[in-house]
Amino acid sequence: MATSSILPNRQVPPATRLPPRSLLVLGLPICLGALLLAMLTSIAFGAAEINATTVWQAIVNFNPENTNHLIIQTLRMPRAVTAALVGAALAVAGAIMQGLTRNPLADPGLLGIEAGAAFAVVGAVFLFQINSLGTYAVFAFAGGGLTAIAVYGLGSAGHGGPTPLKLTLAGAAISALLSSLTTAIMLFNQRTLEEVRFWLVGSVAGRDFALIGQALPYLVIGLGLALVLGRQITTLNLGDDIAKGLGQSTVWIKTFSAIAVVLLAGVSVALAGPIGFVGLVIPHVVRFFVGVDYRWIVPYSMLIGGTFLVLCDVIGRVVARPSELAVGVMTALIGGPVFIALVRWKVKR
Amino acid sequence: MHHLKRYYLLGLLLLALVTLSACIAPAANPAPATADTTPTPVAASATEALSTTVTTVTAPTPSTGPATIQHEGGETTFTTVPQRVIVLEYSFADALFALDLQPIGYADDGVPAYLLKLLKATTAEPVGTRNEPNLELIARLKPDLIIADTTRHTTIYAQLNQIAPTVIFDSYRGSYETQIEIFEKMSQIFHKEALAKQVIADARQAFTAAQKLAAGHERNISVGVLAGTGFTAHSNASYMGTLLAGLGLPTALEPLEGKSQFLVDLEGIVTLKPEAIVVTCSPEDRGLWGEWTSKPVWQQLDAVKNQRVYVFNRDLWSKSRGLLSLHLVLRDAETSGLLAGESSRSVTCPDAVEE
Repeated sequence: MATSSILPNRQVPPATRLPPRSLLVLGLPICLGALLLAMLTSIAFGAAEINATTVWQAIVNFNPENTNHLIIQTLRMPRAVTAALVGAALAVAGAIMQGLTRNPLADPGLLGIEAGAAFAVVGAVFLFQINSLGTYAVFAFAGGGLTAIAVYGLGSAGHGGPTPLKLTLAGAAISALLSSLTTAIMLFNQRTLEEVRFWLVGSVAGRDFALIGQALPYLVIGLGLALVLGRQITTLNLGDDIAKGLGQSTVWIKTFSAIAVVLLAGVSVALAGPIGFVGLVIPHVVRFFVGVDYRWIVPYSMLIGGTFLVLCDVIGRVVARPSELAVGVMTALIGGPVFIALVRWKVKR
Repeated sequence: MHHLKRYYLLGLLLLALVTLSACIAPAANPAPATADTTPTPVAASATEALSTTVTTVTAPTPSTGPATIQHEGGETTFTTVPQRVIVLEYSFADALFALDLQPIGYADDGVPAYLLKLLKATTAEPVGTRNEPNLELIARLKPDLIIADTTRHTTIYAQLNQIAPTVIFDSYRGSYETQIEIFEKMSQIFHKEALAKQVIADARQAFTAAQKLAAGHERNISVGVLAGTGFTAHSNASYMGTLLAGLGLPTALEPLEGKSQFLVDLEGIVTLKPEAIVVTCSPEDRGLWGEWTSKPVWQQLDAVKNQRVYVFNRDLWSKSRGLLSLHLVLRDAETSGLLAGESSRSVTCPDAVEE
């Protein structure tokens, strides 16, 4: 059990850490409410001053001739939805990665998904001079997916199958290689750097519902897999031997978990570019409140991850009006201190 | 074992780098730098290509005593006229050509086409990018003057100054008038004040002619660059902002925290309520242009409905900022219908302008 805490050798009595089931059930609608509230805040806020009544009218009684309604419907709503979906997907992907590798510092980046996506996009911009969010998304998803498969393949080679250590090493090696190549291309070709530098930070600005629609099926499958696998990941988290002893087919669980991570993180990077910290920090925050059972960690990560990213996006727009800070900057600015506070608290115990 | 893996990685990376550099290495301009006297008159054909700007070609004036120049890095005194000049921003290259001189080295990360044509006619060599000038290449050319920009080169100013006397100006974030002041200072270094006066007079004359065309069509505009994944708006303190304001086309956007240009979203443009929109972009950005202009909010803008969106080449309009490029910019502004307040004739991001 203790493996999910930041210091694995420190014993945390799990029985006292688990909140009662009724509280956990009650918490879900509260978190859902928080997410909806954050999304409403995001929709109500922007460069144009639009009063609350108009915002509400735009949602319930949309008039395509009205510029304010169009701003709400075609600019702000897709943005809020993108942030919510990407936040949810990243947090869940991070939670699964941490459970799968029994590494508290794991996040989707460990499978090389972000590095692979960045390399594919930068390479495509350089070679084919593509330049639209729609085509970026296709290359990002393909690049992230292929890299994850390569990492997983390399990490599974040899006897013993995919062990956490081998996966971590393979991921680190391939990520390092791809990141250097990405940097090399950008240094050689200034134009490419200019084109992709905002995408590379991670942003949810300018996304539309068409793009979200393309991403949605993958997201639904990924989140569905994660919810179904919650029980098995909890068991797997106890160690391969115990899981096997309890009659689990660990190879299949690991493979399906990896597929879920690739779908979730791949779609996230396709929609919003590489956004760090959400996948690392949110599962820890969630575990802090709901304990170590992945049947609860997954849905809570979904809701809290979504809320977190939506709020980061709102704050990024408030602090630098009328310009904005990309959401990828904000997640690190806010996620960093939260993570340090969490580590300090755990060390003290 | 661990080391082996690292060497393996390193080897792979090196291999990849070599392959990459082979792909990217500039195909042209293999001419080695011969140490001939550099500030020779520009080839006549190259000058003629740039309309009537440089009409009189004065013989190299002998040095008339030392010249002391005030710039952002302090004060530099030149006892002799520099012969081997390296420019690290495009506007400085433009200024040299306007002064009938030429550089021996220039920063290159996509030189505007009209300038590249002039540079190709010389023996000047690229010395890295504007963001990362290659100090070794610069030193190898043995310059006796380097002209740098505050935005990109303040951090390496000391190193540049060790290689050769370096003057540093704020061209990148400077207004239209700032560019003219910089041009005047540069002319003092080379004792070319007389020629500079005439170049400036030519520019002012062309500007006044454009103002006359625009008279009676004064409108609020938004101006910016469409690149990457968004729109970088240029405020009323930027080069493009001040240039267009001088023509009776002001933008309401104020600078933000000292930045004269910054990213805004579509909503930001809506709040400015522009009567016309000036967008600059590169041919590679046509995909983005299509995406951007198909947004319902964009199509709902008055300027779009009234066909008052004027699209120009980004390299020429926002990267050049020179007195030679000014004539090309003004010609663009006239032919597009922008000055006379006519319907826009532009469709998408235009190709590079060569002459």
